[in-house]
Amino acid sequence: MPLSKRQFFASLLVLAVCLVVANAFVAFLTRHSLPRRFLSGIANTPGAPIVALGNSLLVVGFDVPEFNSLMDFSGPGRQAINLAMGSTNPVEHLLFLRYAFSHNVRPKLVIYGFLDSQLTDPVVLSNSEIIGNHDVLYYLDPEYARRFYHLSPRDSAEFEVVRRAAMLADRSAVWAKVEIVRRRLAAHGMPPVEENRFGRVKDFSLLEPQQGEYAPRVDAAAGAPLTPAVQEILRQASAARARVVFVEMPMPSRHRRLFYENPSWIRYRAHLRALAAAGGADYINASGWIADDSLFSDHIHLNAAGSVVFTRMLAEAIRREKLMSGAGRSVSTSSMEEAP
Amino acid sequence: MTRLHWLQHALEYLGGAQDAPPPGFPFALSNWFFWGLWWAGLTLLVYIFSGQSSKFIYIDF
Repeated sequence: MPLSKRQFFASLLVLAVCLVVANAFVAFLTRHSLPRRFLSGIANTPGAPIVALGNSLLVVGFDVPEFNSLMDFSGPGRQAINLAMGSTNPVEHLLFLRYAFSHNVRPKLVIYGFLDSQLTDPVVLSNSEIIGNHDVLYYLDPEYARRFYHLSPRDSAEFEVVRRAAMLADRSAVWAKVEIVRRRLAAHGMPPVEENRFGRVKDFSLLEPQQGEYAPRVDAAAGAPLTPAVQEILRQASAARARVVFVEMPMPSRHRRLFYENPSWIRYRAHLRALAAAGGADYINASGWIADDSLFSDHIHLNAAGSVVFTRMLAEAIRREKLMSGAGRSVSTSSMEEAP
Repeated sequence: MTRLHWLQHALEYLGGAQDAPPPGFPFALSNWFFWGLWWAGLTLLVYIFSGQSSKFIYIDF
C-alpha cells in the first residue's frame, strides 16, 4: 500500500531529522580538525619574532626547533612559529596571518615560502575544490576572504549554502577516512606504493605544470601583478611593522632543470623581485640551495634531513642580510639570489 | 534462504525489482518512519562516498 501524502511528508520529516543529527555529528567529529587545531594554536601563541607562511613546502621544510636554536630564540613569545599549512593558497595564507595579527602575534619578519608562480596566479576556485585545508574558507572570515578569490555565480550561491552546514563544509574530513580505507583495499595484494606524510609520492608530480603549457603560463605571469591576497599580506604586514621576505623554495634538480632554468622563469623571477621590492619586501632565491636530491621526499618536498639543511641556510641568510631589522625596507641583493 | 540471499531479496524489494518482500521482512511499505530512515541512509551513503570524484592528493594534512 503506497504512502498517503501525509505519510510521505512525515517520512521527509524523519529524513530531515536524520540529516540534522548527521550534521551535528560531523560538526562534533571535526571540532578538532587540523585547521581548527591550527587556529587554536595561533590564538594561544604568546607572540613570535618570526612567522613562516606558505603551503606544505614550508610545513615540512621549515624546522622550527632548529631555527629557534640557530637564532637563539627561547622563552614564551620569543620563538618563531610556523603558520604554513599543506594544500593552501595565498588567500588562506592571508587569513592565517590576519588571524595571527588579531591574536597579538607581532612578528618582525614574515617568511613567505612559495611554489612556482603562486604569488601572481589569480586564485580561481570552484566550490568542489574547497575541500581539505581549503575548508577554512568556509568558516574563517568567509565574507572577508571572498574578496580575494573568484567563484562563478553558481559556485557563489552554492558556497553560501555549504558554509552554513558542517556536514557540507567539512565533507572532505569524512571523505578522507573513506579514501584511506579505499586505498588500503586497493593496495591489497599489490606492490607497495611509496608514500610520505602527505600521501602518495607519485601524486605530487600532478602539482608540477605540464612542460608544454609551462613557458606560456610563466611568460604571461611575468607581466602580472601580485595576486590580491599577496598584496594584502604585504599591506597588513607593513601596517604591523613586519618585514616580508619571499622565499623561492628549494626544488630537486629535475624541477629546476625543467622549469627554473628556463629563460621564461628567469624573466619571471626578475619580475617577482621587482614586485617584491616595490612592495617593500625582500626576495630570497633558495631554489638551488639543496643540490642533493636525496634530501627530498618527493617531486617538491624536502625530507627531514633536507629541512634541517634548508633551515640552517635560511637562518644564516636572515642573519647575514639583517632581515630582522628595518621592517618594510627592501634589500633584495644579488647575494640573496644565489646559494650561500 | 541464506542471509545474503535474504538481504539481496530485501534490497530488490525496496528498490522495486521484487513485488513481494522476503519472509520475515519487518516493515510494511506503508511505514512512513521506515521510509524516512531508508532515504536518510541512502543520502548518507551518497554523502560518504561522493568524494571519489575529487582529485584527492592530500590525505594526512
